[in-house]
Amino acid sequence: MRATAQAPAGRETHRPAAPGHGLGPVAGAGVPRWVVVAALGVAALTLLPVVVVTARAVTTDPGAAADILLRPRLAELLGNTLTLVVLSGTACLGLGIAAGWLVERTTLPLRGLWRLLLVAPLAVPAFVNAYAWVSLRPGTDGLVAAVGVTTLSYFPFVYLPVAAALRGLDPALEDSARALGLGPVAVFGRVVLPQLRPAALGGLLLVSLHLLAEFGALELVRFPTFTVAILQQYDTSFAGATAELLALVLLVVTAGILLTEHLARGRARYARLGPGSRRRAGVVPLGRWTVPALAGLGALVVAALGVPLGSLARWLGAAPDAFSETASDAGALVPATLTTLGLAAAAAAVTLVAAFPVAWLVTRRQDRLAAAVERATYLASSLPGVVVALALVTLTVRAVPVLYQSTTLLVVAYTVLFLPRAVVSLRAALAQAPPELVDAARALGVGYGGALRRVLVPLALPGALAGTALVVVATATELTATLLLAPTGTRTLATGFWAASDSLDYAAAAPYAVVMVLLSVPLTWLLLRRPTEEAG
Amino acid sequence: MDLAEPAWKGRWGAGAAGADFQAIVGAVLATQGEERTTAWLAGLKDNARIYANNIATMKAVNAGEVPAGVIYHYYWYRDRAKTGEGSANTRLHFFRGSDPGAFVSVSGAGVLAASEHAADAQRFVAFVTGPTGQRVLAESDTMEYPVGGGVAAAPALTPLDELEPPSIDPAELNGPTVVRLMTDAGVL
Repeated sequence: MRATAQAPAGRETHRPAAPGHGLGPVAGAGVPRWVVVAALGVAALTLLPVVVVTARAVTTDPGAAADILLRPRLAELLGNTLTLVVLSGTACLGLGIAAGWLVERTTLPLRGLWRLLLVAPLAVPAFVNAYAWVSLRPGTDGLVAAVGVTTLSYFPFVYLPVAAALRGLDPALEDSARALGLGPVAVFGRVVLPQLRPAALGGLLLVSLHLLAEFGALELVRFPTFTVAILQQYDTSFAGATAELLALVLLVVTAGILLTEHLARGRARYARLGPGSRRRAGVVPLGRWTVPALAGLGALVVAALGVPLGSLARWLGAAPDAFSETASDAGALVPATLTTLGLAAAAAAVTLVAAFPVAWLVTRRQDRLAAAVERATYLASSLPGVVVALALVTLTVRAVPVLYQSTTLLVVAYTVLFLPRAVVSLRAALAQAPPELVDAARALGVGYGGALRRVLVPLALPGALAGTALVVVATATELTATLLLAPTGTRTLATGFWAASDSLDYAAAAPYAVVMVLLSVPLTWLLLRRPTEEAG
Repeated sequence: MDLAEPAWKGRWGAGAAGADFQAIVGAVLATQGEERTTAWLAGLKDNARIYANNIATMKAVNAGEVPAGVIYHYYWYRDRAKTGEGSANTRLHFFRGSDPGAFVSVSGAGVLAASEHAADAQRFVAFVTGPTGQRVLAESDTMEYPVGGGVAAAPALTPLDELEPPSIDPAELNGPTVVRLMTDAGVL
């Protein structure tokens, strides 16, 4: 039983190991030197964008930098970005916790169906969701639209870990509180809610990082944040000083959010000693509130899932003329899908290879070095795709022009961005392969290579497959880094969708979106399965 | 220039952050000078609804979100040549009268000094600007005006010689200053 829930898409920061996890590995045991070196190399690679952005900013003429940074437009962008993070984050938190509580701790009917429907919005990329709303109601724009669309897209990041945590809570604590005279509301506020803190904060962090990185959805609802402004700058003047300084500010904001989350998490203990009470936590009878609760969740699901799917169906179906008239566009769908799958496969392969030494190191060694490597990989991947891409453009144009506009560079960007997804999956698998097995293999006369091939790799395979799925889906729906780094003429599903929807050609955009949603379904399935296993 | 007046507040849209719009600001700068351009950009910031690009602007006008929009002509003609659903409720207005808004933006071609295939590149540019290349442009669905090789434009277009553009030498357009002024105005 884990005390903290797994945050869904892998972008979470390092968290203290729950009891049961810390038992297996013996510090320092079973990590050959080359693994340490490889892990350090991977960490250095992922930190490269941070170094480049910082170095460029430091070497910019201070006067020019001040001109760029100290102007009203920057305050406007900063205000927009922070307002969005606060409002959307709060809304996601409220919706996620409320939905989690309703589904897990009340007599709500159709519990299994709601569990599925409340995670399913993750299969719809936020920019597809925005497209759906904008095409449904032209003129949907500004702060309210931005908060609405991003909340509908991202609330499952809070719902998922909170629901898992609610399933795992020890009901005995609540019983004690009630026995000591607290009413149901007080029990929720003083016993349940505090225990949800790690899960809710982890989810909130994910939401915030996604909000900072979001481009497509916000451009469609005409709400400029830092990421949107950086891409507009890039559109007009490529990696100029303005774009790079904006990227630096975005980097600082991201670091600030990571730090805030780290501090907010605090050092409180949430784990319990011993197995605790294994019975399912008590459920609250909803009674006459059943219908309003069903209506509320129903409205949420319609807005988050029904609108995008309905909109896609409408544009696919209602405009058969447009579909056949733009036969060339429909014909472009197949190559775009193949390109996307090829890039995703390459990204997944490279990411897994890079994640292996990191996962090995952090499962087998629990010292400062391992923690530093893990945090380095998380920091870089927390950065918005646009910052990583911009740094890689700057670096290659100046240092290795051969790599600029190459598929290799794009795959490197995906690796930096999505490494933690693979590390998290591999780590979970490796934790189940105790070092004693490797030691035993070695004692039986097999070298490290042999032990790796015959013991560790087979045991890590399920985790590797899960990691592959996560990276493939993330790559297939990645927009910003792909827009900046894809070689001229390379069209992916996301950029194909974007080219059409940016000019509001909804009918031409729909087929790309449908394929992306279909590709994302396995992710949703994985996320649904995982917490269930943990709870069981 | 009137679009910067208070009377136009909230009544027009443009893809002001896009690369296309910079040429229009370049025309304002070339005809009006830096001071008036700065004032005009401040008016734009106050008055205009900023859209992602020309097409988004046109469709916003079409949907009635905003009464008018500043776009390049060919987006409108392209839409009309297809289904017209993005422009059915709109009408094209040319500024004319040597107004900066009547500026005729040109697409140029260049060959990099560092090019490894400079001779081939020169031949390609010569082909594109010659009669054959210009005919390809005129007969495609771009709805842009061919200006080289004496080739006639698509018949649907308002004739180029009726547009009364301001007299501007494209070589004098000052891109860096335009970007600086737009950045200072908070448009970029």
